[in-house]
Amino acid sequence: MKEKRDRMQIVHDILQAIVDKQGKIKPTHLLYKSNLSHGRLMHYVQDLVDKDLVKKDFDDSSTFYIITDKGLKFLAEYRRMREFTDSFGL
Amino acid sequence: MDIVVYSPVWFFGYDSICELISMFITFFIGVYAYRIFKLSGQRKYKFLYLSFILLGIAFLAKSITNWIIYKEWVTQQLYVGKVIQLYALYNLGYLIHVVLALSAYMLLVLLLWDVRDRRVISLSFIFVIMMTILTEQVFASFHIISFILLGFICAEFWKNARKTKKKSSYFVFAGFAVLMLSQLVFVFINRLPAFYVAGEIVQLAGYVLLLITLLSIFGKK
Repeated sequence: MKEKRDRMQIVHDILQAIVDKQGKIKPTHLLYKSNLSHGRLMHYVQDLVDKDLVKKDFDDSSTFYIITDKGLKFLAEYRRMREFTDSFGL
Repeated sequence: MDIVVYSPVWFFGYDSICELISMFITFFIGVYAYRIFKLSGQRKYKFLYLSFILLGIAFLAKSITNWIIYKEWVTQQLYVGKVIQLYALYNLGYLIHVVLALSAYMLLVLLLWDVRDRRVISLSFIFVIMMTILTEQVFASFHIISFILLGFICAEFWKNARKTKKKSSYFVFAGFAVLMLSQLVFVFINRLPAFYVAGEIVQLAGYVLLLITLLSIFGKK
């Protein structure tokens, strides 16, 4: 059985999903890619918007989520953090 | 009333420097682990940062205690009142070092064994207090207990290194294995002052290995 993702991993998966769509993604696509329920996803996304890792944008009455520079830095930092925690077996 | 100084005179102060360097390394690791804890909110990272911060404070306490005693020893400004003060300071510094170091090692064991039962965690810390009382004035006992706890820690890091096959995991194991070895060396400090010197150097080498691990991770893009 696949191990349950921790909060950091979920944030990473959300941001990576946005990067994979050239930095801009619709909520529906993000829902499929993130493998989260709608409620949980919205909770995480709002948290990311509040922390300035992601910003909301509107385009012809469609909502998009765009990754910010801070979000890109987090992704780079995440790999280092993962390496650190893996080296301690956590 | 004895203040036992294991260091040879020529090494006075150098052991404090070794411990200060070890302190900076453990704080560095602890602070980074704290950052990860703030991001993830997970208990395991809390245990990790706490254990390294406790180790850092333990080294700071020992370093300061040694430094003050050596300074008084070297300047030969000793009289009854001063000796009584130094004795109290020595006891306090030693106590802080032992209780914090053993707590740190115990936290790491509990973390690596994934112990979640609060009763077991509480019992472990009662043992830490008891071990601190038992090792009072018997430095070798503290090092034997540390050696055993570090042995458990090393076993887990070895399993992790074999599982992940990452260089950083092997370095973490190596660092803790060297720390375990340093505790074994310290057990013999009563025999010869050279063992104290060797123990301090080996211990520092262990922490330097952990620092190398961290720097190699930060160096990656």
